[in-house]
Amino acid sequence: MKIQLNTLNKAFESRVRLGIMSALMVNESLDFNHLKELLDLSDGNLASHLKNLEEASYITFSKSFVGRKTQTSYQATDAGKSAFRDHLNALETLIKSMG
Amino acid sequence: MATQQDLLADLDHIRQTMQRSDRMLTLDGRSGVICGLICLTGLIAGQITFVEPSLTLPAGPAWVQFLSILAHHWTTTLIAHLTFGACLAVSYWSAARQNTQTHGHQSVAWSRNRLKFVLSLGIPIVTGAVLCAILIVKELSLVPGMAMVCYGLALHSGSQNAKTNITPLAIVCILSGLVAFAMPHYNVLMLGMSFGLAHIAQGVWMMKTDKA
Repeated sequence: MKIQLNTLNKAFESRVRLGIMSALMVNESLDFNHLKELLDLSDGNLASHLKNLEEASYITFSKSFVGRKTQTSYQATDAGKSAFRDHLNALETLIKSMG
Repeated sequence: MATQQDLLADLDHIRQTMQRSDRMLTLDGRSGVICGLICLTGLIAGQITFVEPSLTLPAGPAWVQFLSILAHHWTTTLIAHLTFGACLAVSYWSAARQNTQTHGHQSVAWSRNRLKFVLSLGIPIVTGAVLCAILIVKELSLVPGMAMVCYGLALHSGSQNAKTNITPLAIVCILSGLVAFAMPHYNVLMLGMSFGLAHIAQGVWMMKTDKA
């Protein structure tokens, strides 16, 4: 059965972006390598999805040094958390309405 | 347009990612085997050296009596410390090495999950240690039961943050502790089963599943 998706957030259409937000909802912050390992993605693929979420102001990042290497950590913003919760509610409502 | 199956798959993906990302800590099977072997060695050594099973407290102030109890039951105390220390040390070493190999450094999330794990495990352990310290003076025969129950509860609590399933080991420890509590003459047997054999079995299972 086909469902209209206009109640769902377009930013979360991609499984990768859903995965990133899911991980950031239960962790205060995650670094790039951790996300890459968790979601099993290439650097480029993960970076482009992170940029999309960043442009939507759903995540922020901070850079720090660990030894000589830079480490980029990502956090979900309040707007991002709220949008993700709304998306989850919309998903559940749609599924129940099909029930 | 999407099907209901697509939406359900999205929800499932969200749930699985949340669970995986929150449970990144993997324990090393070798820690279980080492714990079990240390415990069994200690228990056997204890059985050989404890020629006189009954304990007669020397006359004198309380601290002399306390020291004499510790000296008499040094193996039990040593087992408890060595078991927990070996478990944490081997797990820490292994997880740090695995993490460094993967990332070249220790990730922030790994450190936080490790802290959560140590706290969830540590709070029941410390509570148990205090209760055992009280029982050493009040009723010595209940110490092993209390140690096993608190250790089992700590494992169950810690399992919430570990990817490795340690709940079966936790249940064995709790049940053994309860049996020892009810029937203190089975103390050594229950210690051998829970701290010894169950740890070895869990360790071997973890090593096998890690390789698979």
